Amino acid sequence: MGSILSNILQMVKQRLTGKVVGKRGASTVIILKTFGLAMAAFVIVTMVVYWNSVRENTFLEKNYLARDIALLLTAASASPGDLAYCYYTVGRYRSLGFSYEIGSSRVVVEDSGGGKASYFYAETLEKGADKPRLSVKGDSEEWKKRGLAVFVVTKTSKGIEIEAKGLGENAAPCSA
Amino acid sequence: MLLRARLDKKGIFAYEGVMWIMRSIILVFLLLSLIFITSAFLVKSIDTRLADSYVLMNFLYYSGNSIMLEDAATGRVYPGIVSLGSLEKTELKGTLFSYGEVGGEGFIGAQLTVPLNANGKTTPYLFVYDKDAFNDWNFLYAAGLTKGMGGVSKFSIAKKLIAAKSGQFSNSDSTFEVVMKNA
Repeated sequence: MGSILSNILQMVKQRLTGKVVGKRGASTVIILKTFGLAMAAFVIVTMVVYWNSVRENTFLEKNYLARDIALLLTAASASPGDLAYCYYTVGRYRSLGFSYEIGSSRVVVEDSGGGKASYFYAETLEKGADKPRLSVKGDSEEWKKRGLAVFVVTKTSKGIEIEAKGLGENAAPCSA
Repeated sequence: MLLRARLDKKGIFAYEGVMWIMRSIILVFLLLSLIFITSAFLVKSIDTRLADSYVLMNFLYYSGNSIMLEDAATGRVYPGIVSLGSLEKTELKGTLFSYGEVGGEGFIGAQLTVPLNANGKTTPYLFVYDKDAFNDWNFLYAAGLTKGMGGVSKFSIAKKLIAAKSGQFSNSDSTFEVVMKNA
């Protein structure tokens, strides 16, 4: 058994080094090869971590929501008469718990990591007209409990208003 | 393998050392390449500029503060008939509506050209949103700077309208041009 093991070790050394260099030489070469494997493992782990961070980042979602809501508010301003529109947050967009700041012609969507996306919307300059104002902290305890379900946009002769409603709340004419 | 077979112990160590330095450098390049390739295909935003253009056009035409002819007696608005005498100034930013730009910040530049055909001649009437932005970015577009960050995009929407001024009405082939920065 001992002679079989020593023969196997000799074959491994020869394979690794190309020739039999002895115990010390083989150890150094094995250390270098182990270092190489560690480098490869480092590259693989770094890529996996990077791709996971790419998969989890929310740049696209924040930009999409900011632009979608801004276009909605501008389109509501552009409508000739009164209207009520329900903008539902569904699935991934609801679970991500974004914060929304709407006012002064800006829609700002932010997440708990601090990254934010903003977009412009048009506001009428009629004196005395209501303008949309909203501030929702999606990661606050209050909204985690309520669950942001729908934005209700209403346009009347007084101006435009936007409200956020939670799950199960009265959001007429929308159903939350 | 042949080279290594001819080397003695010290030579093999030197050879392996140099080779592993080379391999480490190549691994670093490989890592950076994978990161750059992933970043190149990463989608972070959506292009909504064409939608912005149409919504702005509808704002001008159909909103409560539109440029369309309004009958003072009845309050009825006639969509499709542009009242060319309805505004004292043709700069729309800060008069009818605004995107809330502050300072030199620009978001959108737009120009509506409504030609009035009267008395045998055609007079173009212009309604502009943010004249400075429109002129600057139009110049960049004409210069060919349309790609990448710092470039601009231009959208032209043609619409047949009726132009009205001082009781005169005429068919008008209007053009609504919008320029926006690439973002």
